[in-house]
Amino acid sequence: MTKIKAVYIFCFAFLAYFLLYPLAHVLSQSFVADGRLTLSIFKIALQNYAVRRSVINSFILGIMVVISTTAIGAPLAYLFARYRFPGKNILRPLFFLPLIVSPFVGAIGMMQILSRFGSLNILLMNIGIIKYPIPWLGSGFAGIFILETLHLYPIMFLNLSSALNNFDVSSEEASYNLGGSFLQTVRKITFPLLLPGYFAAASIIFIWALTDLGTPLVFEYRDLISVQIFNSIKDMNTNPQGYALVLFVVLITFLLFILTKKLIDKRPYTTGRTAAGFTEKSLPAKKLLFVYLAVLSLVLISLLPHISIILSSVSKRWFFTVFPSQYTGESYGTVFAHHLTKTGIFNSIFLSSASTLIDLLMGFTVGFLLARTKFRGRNLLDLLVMLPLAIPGIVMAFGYFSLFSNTLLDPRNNPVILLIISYSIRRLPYIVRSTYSSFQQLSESVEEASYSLGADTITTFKRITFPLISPGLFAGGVLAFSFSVMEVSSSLILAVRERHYPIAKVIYILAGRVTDGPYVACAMGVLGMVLVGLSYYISSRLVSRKIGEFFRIG
Amino acid sequence: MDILKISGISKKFGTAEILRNVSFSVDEDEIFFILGPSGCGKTTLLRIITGFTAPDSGKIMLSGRDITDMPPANRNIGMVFQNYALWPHMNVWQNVSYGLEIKKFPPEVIRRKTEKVLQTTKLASFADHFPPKLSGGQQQRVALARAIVTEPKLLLLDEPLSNLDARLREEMREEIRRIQREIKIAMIYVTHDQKEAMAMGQKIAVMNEGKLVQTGTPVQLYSSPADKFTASFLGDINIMEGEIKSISGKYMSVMTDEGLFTIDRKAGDESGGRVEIGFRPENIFYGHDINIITGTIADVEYLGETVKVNIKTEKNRIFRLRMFSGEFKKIKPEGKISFSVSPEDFIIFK
Repeated sequence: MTKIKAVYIFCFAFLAYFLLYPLAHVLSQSFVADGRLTLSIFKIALQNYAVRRSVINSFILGIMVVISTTAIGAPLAYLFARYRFPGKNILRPLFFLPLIVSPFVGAIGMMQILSRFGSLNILLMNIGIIKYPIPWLGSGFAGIFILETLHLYPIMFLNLSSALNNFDVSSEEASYNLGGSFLQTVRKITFPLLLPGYFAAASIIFIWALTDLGTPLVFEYRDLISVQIFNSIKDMNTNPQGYALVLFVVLITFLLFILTKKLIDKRPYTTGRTAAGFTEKSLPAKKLLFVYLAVLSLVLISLLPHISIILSSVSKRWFFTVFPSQYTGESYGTVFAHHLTKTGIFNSIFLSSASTLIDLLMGFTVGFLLARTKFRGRNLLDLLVMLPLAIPGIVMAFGYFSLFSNTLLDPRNNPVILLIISYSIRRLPYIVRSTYSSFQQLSESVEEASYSLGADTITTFKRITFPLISPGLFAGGVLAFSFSVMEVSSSLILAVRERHYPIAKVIYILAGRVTDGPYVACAMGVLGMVLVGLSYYISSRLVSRKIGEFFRIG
Repeated sequence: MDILKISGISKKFGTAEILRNVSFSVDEDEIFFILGPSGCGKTTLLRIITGFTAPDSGKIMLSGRDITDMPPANRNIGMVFQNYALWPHMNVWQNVSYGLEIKKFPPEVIRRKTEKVLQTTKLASFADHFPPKLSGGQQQRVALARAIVTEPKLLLLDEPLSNLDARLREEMREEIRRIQREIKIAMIYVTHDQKEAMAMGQKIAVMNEGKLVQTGTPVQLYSSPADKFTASFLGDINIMEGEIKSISGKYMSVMTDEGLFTIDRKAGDESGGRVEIGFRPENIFYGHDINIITGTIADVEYLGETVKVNIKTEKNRIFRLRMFSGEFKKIKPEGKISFSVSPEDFIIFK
């Protein structure tokens, strides 16, 4: 018992020091000036025109992305949940593909297509539809909006799908039975029942769009909160801007997090299974054609980032043409030959392995503690370990930079330990959840059966408990590893010197080089895409779950 | 000889008293039934015997040894869990042989014993199947095989049939009894199903609210229940309040608002005492001249072989009766009917 207590205290201490302390530090730095509580830094920050504009822009971006992902995700979810049409099961997995390319990598490829003399304008000019190139990307804002929408709509789709499948269709049928029209039913029954799930997904998408750092950097668009925070790190000791903006993000995140939780707690609407005998409606031929057209063009558009980075990665020359004019495999060779890329790959694999190891150990321990012990403070530990879900990577990285500057862990000297810890803390919630649910599914009598046959604790753990928990644990581990390899914001912020660059930062640096830089960056992006795709596949196989379940909230 | 002797077991969870001073003993080779409604403390009692829960007070003796504080792994008590608790990552053979491996038997012995027990439980052809692929009845057999392969002195079964459908349940009742006879093992069988206990039991202990209410054979419990709870838990009963008016020899007279009833006297009854008397719905006769009750038919439930008939008296009391269909045919549905209860069929509660 005392051993368990010690483990408890260790977990608390670790999370408190590397999660709460940096947050608290940022808070105290923002509110305290000359030893007094004050709101003056907000005043100072908001006096700055660039800061004001970036706050407004980020908000607009977030809301636009929520609206666009809803506009795509909601009809799609309804279609897949309620209708039957040939090819449905082949089409469904295609909507996971956007998730395997991070939008900042996709952005590098999409520049080829959407830039002033990119593929799209060239194509349209060749056909003769337009005379002069259209600036699709605008100042870069439009590009960010497009990339984030294409990356995030599957999250809306998956969450709404699961919400739709989680409530009893007969509650809709009861409304029709009483004479309700389709619109009335959707407005009065379906939407209120979906609200908690929708709000959760919308919050996540909003925060994501608000804190995405990689995509705006690639488009060289500066007037967003995330970029302002990134740029403020250089002079964080003299300029309060960064602190004010981080605090702002933290407040919004918590507000949305609390609202979501309240909404879900207040309306535990999972009415369980769909009604017995429920069959999906089939579609009339005319509508079917329209559905295929819409769904297939959506798939095609959302695969544009993939296609463009794959094409870029094998192109030798791609200027003023629709498709590359010369192809080559050289970029892939360069990935494994160039010292910058080699270092990046080595660093990322090392950092991700170490952080995954920590995740496996901590995730298993905390999952066990939560599922099988009844200490006071259990709920607090649960809350603490889930907190990283609500804290954007950019906030944590900023907090680390601010807290550990001029200490042994100063990222300007050597960010290795902080990178490992930030990678691992960011992914910890997933592993804890998957271990916890494995423990929950494992009835205690399964272990007791072993004890009653004379086995001791260690034997029972080795032969019964661990084999039954491990698929869930390793499924989480595989995902944690590949997410860490492609982790963007902490990598961009914490890795300052070239020899510490992880893959994401190497890709970002390469994308900015004029010659073959973007092609090599895309080759790395393709490799990353394959890695992430594979790991989804492996882990869904391990736990025999559908891939979509990894992205469902609540 | 007693294989298990439980004395004075009590257990509280918080302020809730789950077990209150429970004592009983189990003979070698017998199936000892513990019967009670859900929440009466049956499962806690089993967990205390296996050692997964520690009692607040009391003592457990297994073959004359005090095992109250012994860890579960050392007790050598087999257990069949309500949800079977099979290990889904091991096949049937691995599930069953696990206990023998733990006890470090030589491979040859493990093979022989596992084979034999799979034969006994009719699982030989499923040895390489994995539990999730088996039917409910087969899973039940695996749980049983796994629990008996190490030849424990005592086998505990926690509602073993509650997850099976009615037909399979009947079949497994037979199976469990057959296996018990074959391997000669003492069993404690916990159930909330009084039909199951009555059909299978040699000795049944009735539990209610953490206490052992009565222990006896099915016939004893049914015809001479110790209290109203046992009486109504084991079957339907009609109960009236009354006062003992007089006692003479073998009989006594009890006055109720339905009139005077003559019933068999029991030791300790005294004139003037308040009692409750009851009789079972099937213990009725016609044409006798004592203990007559008259009423009209209020409700009929036809069950095929038998018929449940509710009779309403002038005092608006409902008596529930049960008769064979043949008897029921002779009764005119609209008229008054009279029946009587024989003095020895009354049960007295104080």
